[in-house]
Amino acid sequence: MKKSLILAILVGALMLQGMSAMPTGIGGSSVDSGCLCHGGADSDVSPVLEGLPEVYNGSEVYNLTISFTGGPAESGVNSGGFNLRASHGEFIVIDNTTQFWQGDDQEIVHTDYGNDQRVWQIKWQAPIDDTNDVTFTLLTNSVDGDDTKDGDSWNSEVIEVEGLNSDGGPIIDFTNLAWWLIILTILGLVVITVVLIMKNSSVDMEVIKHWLTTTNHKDIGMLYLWITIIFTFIGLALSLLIRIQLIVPENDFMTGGLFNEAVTMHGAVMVLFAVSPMSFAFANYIVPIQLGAKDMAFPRLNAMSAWLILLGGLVAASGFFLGGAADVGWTFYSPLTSMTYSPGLGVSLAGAGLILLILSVTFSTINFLVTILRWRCPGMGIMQMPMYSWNILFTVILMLAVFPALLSAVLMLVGDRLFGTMFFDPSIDGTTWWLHIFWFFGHPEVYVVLLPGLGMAMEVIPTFVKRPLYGRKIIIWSLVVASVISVLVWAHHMFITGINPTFRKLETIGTELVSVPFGLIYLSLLATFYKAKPDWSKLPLVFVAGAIGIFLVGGITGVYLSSVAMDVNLRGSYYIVAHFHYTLGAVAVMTLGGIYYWYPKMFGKMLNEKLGWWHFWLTFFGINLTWIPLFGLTDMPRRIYLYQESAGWEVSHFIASIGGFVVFAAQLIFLYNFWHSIKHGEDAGDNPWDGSTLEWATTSPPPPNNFEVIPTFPLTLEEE
Amino acid sequence: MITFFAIIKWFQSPGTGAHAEVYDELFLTYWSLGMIVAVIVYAIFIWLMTTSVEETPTDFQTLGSIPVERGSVKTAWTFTFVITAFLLILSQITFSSIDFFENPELEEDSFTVKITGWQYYWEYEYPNGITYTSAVGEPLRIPIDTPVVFEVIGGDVFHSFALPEHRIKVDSLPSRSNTGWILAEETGLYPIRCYELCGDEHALMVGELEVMEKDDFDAWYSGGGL
Repeated sequence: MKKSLILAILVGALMLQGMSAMPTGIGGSSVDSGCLCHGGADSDVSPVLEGLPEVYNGSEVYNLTISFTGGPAESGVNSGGFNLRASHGEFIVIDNTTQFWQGDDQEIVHTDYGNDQRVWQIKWQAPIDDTNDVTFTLLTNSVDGDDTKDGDSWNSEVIEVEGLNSDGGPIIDFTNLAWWLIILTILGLVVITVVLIMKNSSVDMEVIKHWLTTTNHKDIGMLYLWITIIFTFIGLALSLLIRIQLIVPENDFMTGGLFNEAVTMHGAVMVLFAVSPMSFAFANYIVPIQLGAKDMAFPRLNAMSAWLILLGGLVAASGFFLGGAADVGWTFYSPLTSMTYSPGLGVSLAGAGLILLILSVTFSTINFLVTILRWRCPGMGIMQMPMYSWNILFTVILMLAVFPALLSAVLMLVGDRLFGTMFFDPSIDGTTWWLHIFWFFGHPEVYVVLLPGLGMAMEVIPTFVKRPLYGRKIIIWSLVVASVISVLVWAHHMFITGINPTFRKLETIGTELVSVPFGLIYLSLLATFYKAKPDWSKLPLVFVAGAIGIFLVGGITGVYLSSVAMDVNLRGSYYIVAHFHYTLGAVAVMTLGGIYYWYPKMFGKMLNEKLGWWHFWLTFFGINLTWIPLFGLTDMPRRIYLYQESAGWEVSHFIASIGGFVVFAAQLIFLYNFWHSIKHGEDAGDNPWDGSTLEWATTSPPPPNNFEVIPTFPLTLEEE
Repeated sequence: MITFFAIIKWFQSPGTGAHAEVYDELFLTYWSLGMIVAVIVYAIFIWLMTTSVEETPTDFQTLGSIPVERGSVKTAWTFTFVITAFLLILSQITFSSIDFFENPELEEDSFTVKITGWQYYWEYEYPNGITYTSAVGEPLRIPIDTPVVFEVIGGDVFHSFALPEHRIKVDSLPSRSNTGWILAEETGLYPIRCYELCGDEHALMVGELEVMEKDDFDAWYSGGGL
């Protein structure tokens, strides 16, 4: 309302001055009665819209030509203008003679460049849903170019186009497969969860009430596990959509917008709501027991963290059902995230989801810091703490350091979108500002994801090779160094954005130095195998060894990227995508090793070994099959939904897509194993792996307070 | 050896021009060193995985015991020193390359093209006023063997202007212009792509670069782009 009022005043002011040219076109409700600056409606002028079919197909793109006949003769300068609106679908600007009216892709007008001509070319993409009739309203001005409104005239025309299934078409829109895959995944998980609850408890309201109100750290660990399993499968389903779209060149399975939603939500869900919180499922369950504590320091706060993660993830994903989820990439680069370029609800909902997530993370951080620093059992000095707890300690310290940056960034983004605060306005270089503040969070976030996985490896390897971890203290000091360096090297994500050359060189050296502590940790893990007796029949060790193998590829390719000169060519290409999927894939496989390791403790049952081996080999080969081919695509931009056959990328993508399905199939086997073994697995006993840390000194699953009496460290064995 | 070069061939799309020479040499260096490190580490890894002692080691940790320390700090310092030295040498190679990418060796007939990224096309503006966009299907034209500077800016959102075969990439931010340069050594048509997600049709933001013989270019240029 306000905008049109201002516009009306502006138009009035211009008329008073006798300046009738409106070089950049106008739009909004004020044009309903024609463009005031160009004389009156004239039946001589008739707008022409060519290129529209009589019946449109869903999602198809049409080339449109706008022109008109009649009115004053063409003068070559200031000779015409137009305004075109469509009730459905999206216009696409293809040259600089046309533009969206205030970022709205359903209204298009001419630009300054397009003011001197009488023919304009645009594209129109039909809506996915082809059951609606679409109304086009076209206004054209015929102008004589003398800068007064005398002699100018305009007219309007309404054109109706029918959809393929306008009348009596199917009620369910099968053309939009993406929707159905997502809905089916969620529905399937809900049904399976409900069935599971019914089987276990015959729908006992007390049980449901217990799970909704529990503050016991073990129950909350379970909640985290279920929540993150759901998010993991949502993330995996989205990745399959991406792989289906890219399996052949010029695929029309998804539109660009839908593909961007899948890419964005896959990244955001996997990094922030799946892999990272899944580590915290174990952190919640295992860390207090490892420390010999009764519970977390703040049990209620802990429960709140778990529920906030669920809520945050659901809010972020709800965009899919409210006109489109965020489609700007999980890095949310400004100014694509602004209202002008992303007017839908999606980005705001993702922002809201992130805020809830950050609250959750902040509560967990406080909780774990206090628990680890103050709640260790008598006798356990901090240097004697188990390695998993050490890694969680560094993880939460990093979270404490960097999540506030993300919180402020997201609050500013949401402020910009909802209240017009203009923090990230391009005219004050908001783009660079966002890059700095986001990557100050974003780079350490990678280590937040990585460290818990490494912690699991550090527990699993010594247990199964029957020798202590090599270089315990060296590893701990390496973690200190790695954490410090990680908050100083964010700018390697912005090497070619125009930051100072000397600063970039410093960042290159800093980034390379990251590989010193991680190199030491890696070599220590390997050295633990030296003169040891590894038991390769045990699945946790197999998974962790597989993850170590995968991680080396991610590590070495990461050194390439630390070079500012290499980054010039590799930035934004599939090489980057392959690199970080190798590191995060390794983390995911380590986490799976952790699940196999601690499942007996959590459920008192063993996972089926035969299915476990299938799970391992399929996952291992699947990951390599997906990402090795994509390493070679150093010239392919990431996040593109279409590629031409001439580019020569189709073989790599075909193989990668098969790999993606193999990985997904493997996780389905795992899910079955996970559910089935809760009831039907072999009994595990208290210490099936001969573990040395305190969680193996109690029953499986542990009693509500973990131990009958608070243990003292080291344990004096009662049997003797 | 054949495998080695087969793999690097597949990693590297064909390159051309002055930047590609420098870049491909750098890539080969990194690639070779990376391969050596990987082969050594994997060999050690497999050896460690496949060897085993007969009896259970004596320092195996029992339940609830104090963690045992293994390993020597001296070894750690040695590795720290070796890795750091290795990386600093790598940095030096990197820095000489980036200095080359950064500092155009301009000649008398060099000129600057202003490039603006728009959703979803590129706009080219030459010093003599020729202005057109990639949306009309025209390639960006430059002469062969002449350093040309690109001054890249974003018109609406964040794009990234790149010539993958010339190994050149310049971020196109809406607030600030960045520069890059090219010295083309072969005539022909090469793709221009956008490497930063810029909206729904990001994938379609493709243009072309035409490297022309100097005479052809001069004729086109002085003819006002006709």
